[in-house]
Amino acid sequence: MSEESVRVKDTPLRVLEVDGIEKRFDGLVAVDHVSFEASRGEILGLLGPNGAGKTTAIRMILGIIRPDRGTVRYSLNGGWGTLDKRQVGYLPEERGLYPDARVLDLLVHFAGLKGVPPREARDRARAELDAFDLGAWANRRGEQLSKGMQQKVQFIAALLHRPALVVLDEPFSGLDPVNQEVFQSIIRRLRDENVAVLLSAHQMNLVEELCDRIFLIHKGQRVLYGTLTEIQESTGEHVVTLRVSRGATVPATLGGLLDVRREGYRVWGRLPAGVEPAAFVRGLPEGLPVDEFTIRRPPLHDIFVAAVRGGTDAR
Amino acid sequence: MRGSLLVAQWEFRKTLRNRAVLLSTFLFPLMLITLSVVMPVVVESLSRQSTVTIGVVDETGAVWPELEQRVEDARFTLQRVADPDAAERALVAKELGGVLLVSQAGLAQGVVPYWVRGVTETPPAGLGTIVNEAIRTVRLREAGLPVEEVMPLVAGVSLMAQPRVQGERSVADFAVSFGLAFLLVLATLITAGVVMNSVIAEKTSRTVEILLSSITPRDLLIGKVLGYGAIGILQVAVWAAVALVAASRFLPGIWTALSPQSVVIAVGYFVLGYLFSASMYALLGAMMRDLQSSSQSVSWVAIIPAVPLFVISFIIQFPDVGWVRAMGFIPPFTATTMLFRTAVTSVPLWEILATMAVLALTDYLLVRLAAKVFEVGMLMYGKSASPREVWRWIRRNPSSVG
Repeated sequence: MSEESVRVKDTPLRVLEVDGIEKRFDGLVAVDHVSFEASRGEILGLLGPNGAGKTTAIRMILGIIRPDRGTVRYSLNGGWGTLDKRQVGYLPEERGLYPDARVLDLLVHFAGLKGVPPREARDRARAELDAFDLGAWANRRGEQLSKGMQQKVQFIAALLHRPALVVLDEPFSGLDPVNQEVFQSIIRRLRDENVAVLLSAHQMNLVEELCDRIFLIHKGQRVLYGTLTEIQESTGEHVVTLRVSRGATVPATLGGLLDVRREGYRVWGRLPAGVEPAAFVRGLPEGLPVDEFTIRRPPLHDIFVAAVRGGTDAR
Repeated sequence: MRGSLLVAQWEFRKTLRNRAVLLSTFLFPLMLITLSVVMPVVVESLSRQSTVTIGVVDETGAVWPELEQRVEDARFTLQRVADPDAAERALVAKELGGVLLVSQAGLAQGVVPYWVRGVTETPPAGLGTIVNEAIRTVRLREAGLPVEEVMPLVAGVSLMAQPRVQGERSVADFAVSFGLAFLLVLATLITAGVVMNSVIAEKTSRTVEILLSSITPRDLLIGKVLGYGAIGILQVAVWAAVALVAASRFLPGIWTALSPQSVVIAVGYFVLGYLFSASMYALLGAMMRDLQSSSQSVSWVAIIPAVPLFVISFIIQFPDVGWVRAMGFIPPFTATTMLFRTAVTSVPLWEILATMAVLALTDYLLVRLAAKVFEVGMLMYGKSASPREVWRWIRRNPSSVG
């Protein structure tokens, strides 16, 4: 997939343009000539294994550290220019609250730093705390909250000032399934409200569900970039699942299928690039008692693992 | 700047809710009063209750009667002892607190030995005066001179310093400058270190990332220094108010001699000196990994404003010599040195303005430097930065310092 094909068209919706940023620490390259864009009303997934350079890239986007090379441009207030930090919300990967400060006070403080007047910040904070079922904890100190509660409070702090760009670094880590669902619905709501969301996460199933486009970074470099469909199609592969009727025998070989796994009456395998699914179906033994058969593009998890293990060139 | 003020306000309010800070703000003056007013009274009262018996071996036979009739002080009594051996035994047995040996030979040499058990023991206050008067009386009498007429003629005098040069410092001016110099040292020891703890706490709790996504490192640092600076100044204001009330109680009318100019100068040096310490602590906090690794650094930063204390007697005695004046231009020592100097002498206005300018400029540059270290150091988790690393950060991007 060419870089041009995944570039978002230059519309007023685009809010972030990262162009060739680089960062080195003590001679080690953390981020190496990375470029991508983010637009209003989309969720861009920023994926990569641990130490890939995601958080460094995020810190450069947020103006916390400066790139050694390259530029980051923003259009958060209409025109293109430098970063207006009031228009950005950030949930860092490393969670942290003031242990000795009251929850409501610190939300008002964080919102104040983003330009929200105290009274308005207080009203919004109360409403959001109620929405997250934390209304009773408004006057408790940070250290009295559970980890999950602290994470919710930080999530609220990232959104309270109603930013145009929200950066969420591992928002789901440590959350139970119910709260993951809550966070997911809020992230979707942000997209519906025309906010640009940059989401870094390791839960591939959630990324598949949420993200409109994906940027995969590994060893500081771009590995994959595009919509999920584009990325899946770029592999040229398919994944096949087959289950035969009880008592039937699964054939020893299935034409062209690689990495075959068998379990009882079920078989999984990878259909490599260049093999047409229709041809594979035609090649199945006649009279095979098939109970279940699926053929689809590989899941993001498989693509991620393959890319990180070096199976995928930079696309 | 708006971000700095919001951070300052936040730190100020948060710190004021801290019990330790509240305690040190209000308990410290109480402790100071206890130590400086109540304790001396208690010690005085206790020492009045415990009297010491001094043995007197008078080989002349003439001095004892004179001594005996002069003892009025309740802190010691005199007891005549027959001979030196008996006196020594009583001294070793702790029946006597000390022994006076009066002999013709000693008087001829102008010496009266005073035996004690150890080198740490000294004659009780007032004993020397009584002994001198008694011996002087005996000598006059032996010379056949009229004691009542001659005694007033040979009485000693005491020196009383009375400044007469116009513009010199009043006692109140001295007290304000001197007091603030000590308060600066105390405030640096007690409160300025809180800046460093706060920086390290934000670093270890990762709150710093949220803050730096909202404001610049310089705004954050300035806000912290201002917030904690306000706390320190509030504390000192409370302590000074207590001192003012206490001083008015014991020395009525002392404050009428206080000149507003002296107060402005003293407060100016205090604020600039405190900001210097606070900025140094913030810089260290940005470099340090955790509170444990910072504890070593605290001690040497805390001692900086206290350095002039080591030469305080010289500064007070010779406030205008070259090296003392030069010390006033060395930023880490400026505030304390100049507070001591202005306490005891009239420093030319140009020198006051020049030293304040040097200190203010240093504070400003220190804040800029600390902000640069903040920018890199605040996100360095798990290790402390070495001075070499800090130097490399600054060199790598000198334009962004501050």
